[in-house]
Amino acid sequence: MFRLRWSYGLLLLAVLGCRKDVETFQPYAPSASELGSLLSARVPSTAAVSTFSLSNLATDKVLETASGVQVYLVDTDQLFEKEGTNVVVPCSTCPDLKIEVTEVTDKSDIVARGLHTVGDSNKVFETAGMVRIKATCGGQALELMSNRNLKVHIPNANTTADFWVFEQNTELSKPWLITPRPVYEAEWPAANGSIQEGYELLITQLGWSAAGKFIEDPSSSFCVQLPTGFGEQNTLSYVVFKDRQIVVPLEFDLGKNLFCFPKMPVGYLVQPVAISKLGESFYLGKAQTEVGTNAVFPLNNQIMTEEAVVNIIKGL
Amino acid sequence: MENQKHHLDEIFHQRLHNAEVPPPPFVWPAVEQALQPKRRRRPIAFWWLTAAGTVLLGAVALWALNQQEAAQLSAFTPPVAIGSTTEQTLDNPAAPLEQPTTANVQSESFQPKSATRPTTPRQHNPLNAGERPVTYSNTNNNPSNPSNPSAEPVAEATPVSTPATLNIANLPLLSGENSISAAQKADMPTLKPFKSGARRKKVQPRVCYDFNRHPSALLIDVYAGPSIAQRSLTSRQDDEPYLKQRLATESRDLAFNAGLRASLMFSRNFLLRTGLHYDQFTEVFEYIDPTSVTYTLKFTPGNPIPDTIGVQYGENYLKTYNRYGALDIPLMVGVEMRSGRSGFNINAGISANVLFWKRGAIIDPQTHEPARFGGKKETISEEVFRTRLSLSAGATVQWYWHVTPHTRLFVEPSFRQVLRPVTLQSHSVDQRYSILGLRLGYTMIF
Repeated sequence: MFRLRWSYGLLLLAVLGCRKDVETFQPYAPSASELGSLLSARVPSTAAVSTFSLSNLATDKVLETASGVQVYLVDTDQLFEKEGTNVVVPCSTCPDLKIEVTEVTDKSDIVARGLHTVGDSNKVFETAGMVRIKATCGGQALELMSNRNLKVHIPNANTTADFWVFEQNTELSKPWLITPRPVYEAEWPAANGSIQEGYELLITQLGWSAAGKFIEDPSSSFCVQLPTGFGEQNTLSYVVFKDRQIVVPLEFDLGKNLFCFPKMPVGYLVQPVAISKLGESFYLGKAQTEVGTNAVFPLNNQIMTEEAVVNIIKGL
Repeated sequence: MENQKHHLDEIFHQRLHNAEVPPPPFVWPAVEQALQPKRRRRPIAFWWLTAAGTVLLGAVALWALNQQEAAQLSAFTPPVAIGSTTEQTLDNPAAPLEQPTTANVQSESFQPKSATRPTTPRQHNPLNAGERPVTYSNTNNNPSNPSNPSAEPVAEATPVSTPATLNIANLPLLSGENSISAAQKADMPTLKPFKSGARRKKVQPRVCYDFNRHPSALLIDVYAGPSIAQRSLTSRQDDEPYLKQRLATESRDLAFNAGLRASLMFSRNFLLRTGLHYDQFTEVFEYIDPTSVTYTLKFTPGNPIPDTIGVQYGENYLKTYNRYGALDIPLMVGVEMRSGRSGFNINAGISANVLFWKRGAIIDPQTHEPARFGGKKETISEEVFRTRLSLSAGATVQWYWHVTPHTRLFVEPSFRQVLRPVTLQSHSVDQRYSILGLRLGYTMIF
């Protein structure tokens, strides 16, 4: 009996002494799109989206949002057609016409809605405001008839010249396209009777439009280095310009393990921002630097709560 | 007259030939001192402070035990019957001295009431002719008592009589001389030392080793048992982040010890021990890397640079069992006390490391990422651990139980403090160990 117990003890020691090391890898589901949805749902103010319901609209109409953005509907029976067709939809015959106006006037909204201020050929522009107009009739998406436009007023107390109208297709990742139409500095009577200053845009398509001005300064490659494990599948990374309405998204270079943009205007104060979600954990990295030539900026991110991430993005 | 004088001397000679005379009290200190073997002095340099303290404690305990026994001795009631027999013999030479004696001292009480001294002269002793006569037999040591042949102590019982009944000063042979030398000169029986074992009240079981008869012995111990390795990590270079990482990723796990030990027992109670002692302690290293990436590469012939065809981001969980093993040669001294089949000993000393192996993973001090040390997969950027442990100080308390006279089982709690960190001085964190162990073992006595 005694020997039996000793053998048990020795067996136990042998088993415990031979325990093997454990190493397991648990892959995450890609979370970048989930992050985008989160930001677009939590960051922008609900007042930034205004929906107007019109029934059998037979006259011209000016739609004004709470922030003062105005959309002029003129000659409404020859304004819209069914999306993808040439079938005209007169507003007077539409009992359920809905016009949705989404306005973006600050950088946090640009980031939250997955927008940017990069034009064709990776040229960066500064924006004076962005607006999206959506129209439906009975739930059917509409588009502007060719050769028609909508006049849009975007309030701005400190207007400057040389802005142009930029338009964006539905794919937000694509660059903005500059149009040959300039943005006018304008004044108009507001709903409360006062005179409102701002920009006037003539847009020729529904969807996103912006008042923008290219940055013509020299540019260079700019990269942000995040710790290993943060890539395009789980991270959204931007460069947000200080005191300017410029947001540049960074693209992940797998070979270099860097988030980069090839033509960043040099000499500007910027804030690299990286938002990540690994598993159930949120990470955010934010810093400030000046864009140099071929700069690689190491950005340390920290784990934080979802609420903290939302608040920091709101404060950009 | 001359014949009468010679006759009287002859009578004295015959009657006192086997008599045992109780010595006067003043001789006991000298006797005991003479019987105590002289302690060999060891160089103090070999004694660790702790060891010395423990041994001192043991010595004090032993001294206290002796004092207690001395107190028992002073309260001992002399066997009056023996004295009266002697007196009767002196007063009445014609008395039949060759009467058969049945002097069985009742060792249970140590107060023989009716014992008669075996005063048979040597030439009339039919059993021990030519030998020193055996006078008294303790029941524990009675050769005629086969029921307890291996009983401890009580090697030789001692006749005791009271000086009040035997007037030694009146004996011409003994007057003016030391009692013992006088008795020897008179060819009197040798005065036996009054050994403490003889006065023990408990009947000693046969399963104990007779350390009285063999005060020096060689003991071989084999033991093993569980341990608790208490680790302390302190930051030496104010590298608190690294220290926190180490603390957060490592935790204590099981430990055990085993050993083979030889002990030299001398002077019945003192031990000098050495051997081989092995300590192995395990720690669990757990690290979760939430930012792990796995790349799927594709190599194409002719292209030395592989194509990355897949990337997976995920969480990597790493759990390793960090094992540290130390083989040491201890040198300990101890004091042992016994009672019946069981007893205990206290030991203390130092141990020198001869082998220190380690294998596992910790946070790398440079990269702050997990890195393996020891073994073939070593990836750590710098050497962290010493090749050998420093000296250790330790102490143990052993409780044993005699299974047979030459074998024991024991339980021995132990404590060991490794005196210096196991990490190198260049490392930013000091890693120290103290080990609490429980040794379960087996002792063979030679």
